[in-house]
Amino acid sequence: MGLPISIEMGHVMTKNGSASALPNLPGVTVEQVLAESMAVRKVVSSFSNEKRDQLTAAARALINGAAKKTHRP
Amino acid sequence: MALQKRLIALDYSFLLLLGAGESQSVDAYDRLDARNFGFIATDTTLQELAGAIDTDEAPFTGQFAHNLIPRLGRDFGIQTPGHSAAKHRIALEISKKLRIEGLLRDSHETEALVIAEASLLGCQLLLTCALPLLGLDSRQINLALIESDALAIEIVDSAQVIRRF
Repeated sequence: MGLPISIEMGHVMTKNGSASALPNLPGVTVEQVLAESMAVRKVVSSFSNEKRDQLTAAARALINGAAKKTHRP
Repeated sequence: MALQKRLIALDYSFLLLLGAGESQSVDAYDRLDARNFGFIATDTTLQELAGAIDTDEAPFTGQFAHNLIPRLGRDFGIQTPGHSAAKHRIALEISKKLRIEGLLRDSHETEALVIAEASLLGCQLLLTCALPLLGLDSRQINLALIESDALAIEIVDSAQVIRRF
């Protein structure tokens, strides 16, 4: 039986692996998600302004594509 | 006259857990949604979501983060207003100020930018699961933001939202 997730100093901590199961990311733990988010943040911080602008444009293209799909009958 | 929505910025770490269905994050989101908060993802957060797939640093979440982008508005009602070029320059200046004044400890540059962007977009709260952000001296950061003609912003985690709302 999984133990409940506890919060310590604002960080999502788990008492064992089964407690940190993520319904939409099977097999991945909360700790892994947070560790990767920090790693990606560090990488993106190192990108040039031009590269970051490209990422923003790519994200907005995905958002606009999703909006079109939503409104299509 | 319609009341203006209170805005809350959701950072990359929180969005990943929300999208993954982590119970605390979903609970915090639902409580804020019920209180009629408006949700914002800043440009830097979009860059982190889009950039995750281009790096080897995210073997478990890279593709997931990328796929989360179209869901932001569709599934979660998150707005991505972005900034004008002029506002972006101001956000860069504020983030530089926060770093130069040593208010960010070992936080990354993008974390300073997220704070500045969220403040300039009028967000009252920045919801994150990132320990480096949660450990910052928000009083000093807010003084620096106010000095820069930006709005004060509280950096909170899911547990704080759940306790309060």
